[in-house]
Amino acid sequence: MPTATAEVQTLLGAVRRALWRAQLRAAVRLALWGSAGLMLLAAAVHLAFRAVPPGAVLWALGVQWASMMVWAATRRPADATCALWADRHLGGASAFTTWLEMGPHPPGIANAAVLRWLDAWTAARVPDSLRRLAGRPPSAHLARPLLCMLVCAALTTLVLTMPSFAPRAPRSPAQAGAAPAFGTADAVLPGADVPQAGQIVSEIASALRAAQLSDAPAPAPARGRAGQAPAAGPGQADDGQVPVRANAGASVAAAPGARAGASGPSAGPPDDGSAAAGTAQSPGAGAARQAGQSRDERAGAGVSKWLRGTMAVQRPQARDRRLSPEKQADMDRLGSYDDDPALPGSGAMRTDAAPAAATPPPVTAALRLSPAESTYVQAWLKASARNR
Amino acid sequence: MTSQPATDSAYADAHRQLADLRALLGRVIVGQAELVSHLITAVFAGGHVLIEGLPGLGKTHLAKALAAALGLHWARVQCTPDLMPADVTGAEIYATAAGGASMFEFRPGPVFAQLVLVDEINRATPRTQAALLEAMQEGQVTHAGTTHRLPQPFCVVATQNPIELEGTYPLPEAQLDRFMFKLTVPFPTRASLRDMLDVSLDAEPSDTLQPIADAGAVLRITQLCRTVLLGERCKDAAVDLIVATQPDTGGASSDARRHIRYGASPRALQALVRAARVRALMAGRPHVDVDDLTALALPVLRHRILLRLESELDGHTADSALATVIDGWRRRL
Repeated sequence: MPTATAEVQTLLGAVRRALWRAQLRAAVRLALWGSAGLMLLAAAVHLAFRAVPPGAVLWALGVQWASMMVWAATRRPADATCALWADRHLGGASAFTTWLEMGPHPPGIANAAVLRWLDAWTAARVPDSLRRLAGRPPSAHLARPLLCMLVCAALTTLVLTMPSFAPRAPRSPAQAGAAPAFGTADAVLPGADVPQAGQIVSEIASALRAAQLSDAPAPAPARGRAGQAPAAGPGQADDGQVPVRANAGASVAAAPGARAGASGPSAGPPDDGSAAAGTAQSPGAGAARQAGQSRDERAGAGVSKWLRGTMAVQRPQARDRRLSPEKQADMDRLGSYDDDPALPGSGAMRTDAAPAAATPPPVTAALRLSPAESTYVQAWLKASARNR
Repeated sequence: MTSQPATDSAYADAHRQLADLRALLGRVIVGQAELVSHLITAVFAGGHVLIEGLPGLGKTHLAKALAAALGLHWARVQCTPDLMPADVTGAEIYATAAGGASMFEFRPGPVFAQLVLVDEINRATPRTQAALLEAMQEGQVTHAGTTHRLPQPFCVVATQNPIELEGTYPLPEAQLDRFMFKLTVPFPTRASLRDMLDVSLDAEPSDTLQPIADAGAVLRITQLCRTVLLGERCKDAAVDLIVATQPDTGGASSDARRHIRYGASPRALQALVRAARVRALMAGRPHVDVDDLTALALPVLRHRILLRLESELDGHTADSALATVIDGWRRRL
């Protein structure tokens, strides 16, 4: 056995440690790049597809780092690998690999002098190789991947704290078909099926509704049919929630010649600003219902179905109005009926109670008609009286 | 010569003698250090050298200087188309002995020298070339049923001119394979040309060269070179290099398939390893390194491959094709 065993083993041990460190650095570098990519992927998934919990990202990073470290730690460089590396990078000139191969003298070597020469040559080479090994720069630079990983970590943290911008799942055909019944606002409200978003929208709609109710006459022409476009055909009566101005003008304009349900002494409480005046029946509407007695379906006009709860304040008022037959008089018939099965006494003729005469609503500044409108209404009332 | 166990100092002495020889020839042959090194390598590896170069570059001068420095008996054969084999190998002549008896006597030709300079070998006829190359391969000459051993060491240094090819007989590839090296003599640099004026303007330095070795020393160093260690990695590397030149094998590179029609022979592998051992000893190493194989790959392989006709028409040479093959082989190590 060559006598340079100690020197060469020292060198091989140093090389093994260096290779191990290089493996570890390479694994760390790979893990840094992998972590950056993983975090970017998580952020992209969070933005594009679905919300990614931060715990899942941390778990994946932990698995990746653990696997890389285990991989680097378990790959112990063999002596042959160390010798080959020393030959290539430390000026060994194939001496160390040859020395390892010739360690136990092969039977083909007849001359031991060359082995002794190899032993001496290799031992003399070790100090220079160790010096070269100490002067070698680290093989893998970690600054760039570390910086990249930190940037990606910050970006991913920022993205994961934001709500996911993923588009909703496509609506089912049943939901899509029911959409017009609830108004157009339902289709334009993102995340309306999310309770939290629905609550926010409900609050906004309540505020809007309250504002609209506070100055009801002004937007009446637009409100009168909002959300009821499919159902508001000729002959369908409006309920008492529609202001006089709005319904009167709209009915006349839509069905000239129709009989006015509120032109006679129709009943209506004096304080009811939403009397049935102005409801019209088209000439072909033989089954015309009594003005102000149809079921109120406009509670959620223009608002999503989720907003109906917010209208609970208004609905009892409307129901109360419907419950009192005095407030909903029919000009043509003495008796009245209500087709609303939910109401007590609905569907039954009520002949016992004579309808009270309609009382014009209190004149306020908001309800005051313009001169042209007043002229038009008076002419229309006269024409209706003549026809009758 | 039988192989004897070398002493520890034998390698050091051999290394020193080789270094001295290279230094001596480097002073005589100015600006051709690599050529001198390869020539020394071939001599101590027991091979023959084919030197190709333009006239006036010192090919003959190099051979003469080598023989003088090694103290070898050398002879020169100037090849011409009318050169007969007997003019090279020798012939029997009818001679009268001192006692009056007459008999045929074999008169050895110039091939019976330790270092034979065959000048412009491509001007000899194929018949003469074959006789010479047979002596190179077998190390003996058979004439009239009698076998005559050639002296040892025996080295042929042949030269040929790459121009003026009219009336020449290029060596067949099978005979080129018998040369260990094919060396090309590059044109000297400007500094080397200036040095030549100082060294060889008025006299041939090889004429006054004092030998630093003898035939025995050459044989001893040759034997020592055969004991230089060859690791498994270098064996694999040498085999890979030879396989890389074979266009029909799996180990061939794409460049080899594109340019080479016939690759190097197993004799090239032997020559490569033998020469690498000498080079390692010249470098003072007891073992062969891959760098030795790399440095010797081109002179060993350049005359042992045949290029495809398309590659030749495209201007490729054996050197350019081998350069790509060697680069690819070295990267795979």
